Amino acid sequence: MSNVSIDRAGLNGEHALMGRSIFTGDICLPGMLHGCLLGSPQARGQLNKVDLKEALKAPGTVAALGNEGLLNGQVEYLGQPVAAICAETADAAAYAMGKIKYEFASQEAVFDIDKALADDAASLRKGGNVVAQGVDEKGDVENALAQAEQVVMARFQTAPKALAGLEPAACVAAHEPDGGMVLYANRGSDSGQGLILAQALDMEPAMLRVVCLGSAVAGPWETAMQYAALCLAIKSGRAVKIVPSLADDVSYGLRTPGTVISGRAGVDASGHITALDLDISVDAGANTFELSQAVAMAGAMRYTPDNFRMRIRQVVSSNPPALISESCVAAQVCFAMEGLINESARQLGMDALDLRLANVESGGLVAKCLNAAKQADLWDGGKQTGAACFAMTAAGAEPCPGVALVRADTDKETGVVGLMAIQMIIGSNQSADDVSSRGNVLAQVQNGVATAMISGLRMVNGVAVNPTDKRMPNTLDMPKVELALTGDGEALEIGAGPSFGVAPALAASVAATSGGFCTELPITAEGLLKATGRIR
Amino acid sequence: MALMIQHHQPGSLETALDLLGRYRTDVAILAGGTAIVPRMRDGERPAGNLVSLSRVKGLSPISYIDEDGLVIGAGAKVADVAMAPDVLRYYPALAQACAQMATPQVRNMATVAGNLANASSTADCAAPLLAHGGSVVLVERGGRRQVMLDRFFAGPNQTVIEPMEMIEAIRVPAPPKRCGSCYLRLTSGGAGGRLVLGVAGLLSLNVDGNIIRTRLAISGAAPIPVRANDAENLLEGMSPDDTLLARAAAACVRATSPVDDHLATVFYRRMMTQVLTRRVLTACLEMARRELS
Repeated sequence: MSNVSIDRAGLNGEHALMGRSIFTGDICLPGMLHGCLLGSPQARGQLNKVDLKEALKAPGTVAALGNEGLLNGQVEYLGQPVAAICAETADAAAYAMGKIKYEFASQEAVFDIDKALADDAASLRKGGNVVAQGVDEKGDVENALAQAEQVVMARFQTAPKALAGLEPAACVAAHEPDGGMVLYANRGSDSGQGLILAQALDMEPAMLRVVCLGSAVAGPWETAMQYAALCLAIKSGRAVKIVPSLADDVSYGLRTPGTVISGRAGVDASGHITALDLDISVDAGANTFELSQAVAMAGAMRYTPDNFRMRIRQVVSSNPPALISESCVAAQVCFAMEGLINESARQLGMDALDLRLANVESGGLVAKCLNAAKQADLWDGGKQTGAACFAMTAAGAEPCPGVALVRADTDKETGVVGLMAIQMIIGSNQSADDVSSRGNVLAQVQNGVATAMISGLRMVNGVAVNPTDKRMPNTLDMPKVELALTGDGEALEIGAGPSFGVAPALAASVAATSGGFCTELPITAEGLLKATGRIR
Repeated sequence: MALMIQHHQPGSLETALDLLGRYRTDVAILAGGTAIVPRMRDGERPAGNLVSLSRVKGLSPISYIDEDGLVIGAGAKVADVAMAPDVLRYYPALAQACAQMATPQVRNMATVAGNLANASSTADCAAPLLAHGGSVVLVERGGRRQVMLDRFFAGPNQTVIEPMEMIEAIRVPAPPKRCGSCYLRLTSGGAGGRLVLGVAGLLSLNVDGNIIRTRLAISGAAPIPVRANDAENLLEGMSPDDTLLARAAAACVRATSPVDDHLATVFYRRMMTQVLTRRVLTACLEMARRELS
């Protein structure tokens, strides 16, 4: 009944190009029902009762699921699934969903990271709103800052970015001939989702086969959707498909966390960084998953200052859950750290690459990349081109560093920024002609452009006000991208590092051409005019 | 609970009008589908019946005659209008709007008539067509009527199109002599992003180089695309210089009533209305002066 032929290799390439690929939302099994999720209309509160009687009487309705298993009564974000229903058609399920009744006692929600950290903030968790924190410290930062010749201070703010894949979120749960269950989904991984869902359903893991297609990640909302599909399939004895709307997928699905980073960098006249201090607050939304080492969220370090302090706090809020994992805010930390360094170089009148060379291990891979960047055609000493270092640890591997060079053109009157060229110098010995390396780097650069200029989600009261604006840069947005690999004999895994360097390098180019020091991502026309003082 | 949508593909205008008459208030026109299909994908049901224009013959011509001006059929794609030699030559503002709107994929599917019929405040094609004095030909079983574009938009996402009526064509008068037109736009998040503001202008000179006609229109800064009459009046009959153009650009802001949204603030839209208007007028003047010489 549930045998679906999935050609995983064909999902990328010619099949997809010709429209022949079968995506999860296209799966149609005999006797399949259509499911619908009821999302919480409030961001925080106690769900006391869910009444499914009227909904079950609606035409075509087959089965319904109350809040059992979906939540423990406490609603923690807007759109959190509180009930689900399945019917013969998607329209019938949508109609029946409107008949679900519930009693809800709303509570004060907190959406803003600063408000969540305030002394008088409503406590969203028993232990307070900071659920994890860590410090990485070396030397005496305060003393070094007090004695520095020049101190640059800034508050960096980055918007969350939806991780929803281009393929609409969907899942299909069905019965296997051997009595087990199968779930086809396009969020999460086979093993990860399999274990989580089997445990939630109190099933033997061997009795649940999960087939996850694509590389989009799954968070609590996606997992709740998959759980609901499986529960409804078990209740109805038939296959059940759930395809939420794009707006729900983008609004409530997993996203990178928004961050607020207060940073200070102290430098001496020769450009030596005497102190670097970063205070990072990560908006995890309703996600309470904790890393054993909170500082691992910040990713790899590239510089060697004598005095260094990085404090990181994972803050819960009433926003939908954000991704919490190793290096999950590495891009944001890179933006802040490189921003401080670029601004220090600008204020000292120094070449930004020379300043970096004074602060990395001499003869190391980062220095090699920086020297290669100085020879690059695109580097003009910082007149119009911005630079940034990056490093990303691929799972269990040595960090692969690199330098991003970005040249942009800014219209000082309108604040419009146009990308002109990007060059990536990467410290890996992989061949620049290798299709896989090149493809990965280009994809990461595209991702970096999205972070820098396009893909920020604007969250208002726990919901994205621009969910359908989510898009990746297309050929109109992308400039010419050049790639140079300069390794030390080792073919280091490149990973996601190149995506981190684009935003700070772009901000440096914008600062060089307009005088505006952009500290918010994404960089917008209006944001640039604020940075230059044309708008107050 | 009839939530199904019926899709009709008539082969002639008469059959399409019959369908509009039969279903009256429960029918919507499907031209390029670039606005209606995403809404349907988000669960919205525009009407119980969709009448596609894809097979209706004779709806896609783009023709120009000196005496009559330009006629754009209801089925003409935005990309085709952008590339039409007569549009490029006589209606630069419209060509610029059509060449920059959304993405190439959308431009290949979307129609100019559909862009107007949606009555979005941010319709790219609306501002240049308002500036060029365009009008819309509406047809129903009983006959036709022509509505000037500045009376076509009744409110946000509302037009004066009656039930059983549809757009048959867009007519644009031939441009005056010694004339220039231009359209400039700002988007959020890159070239393919959403329109924040679009300003179109048309300016013609007499043989002495004085302004005899100006039209300024704005998309994205009011509930509907609007003309800036105050600014137009300020310019007409005057000898153009930088100060006058700057004063007109400032006056143009008075025609706007923008709102704060996730794309831009009121302040930014007002500020940019002034900036874009000045640039548009400068470009129009330069173009018109080339004809003068």
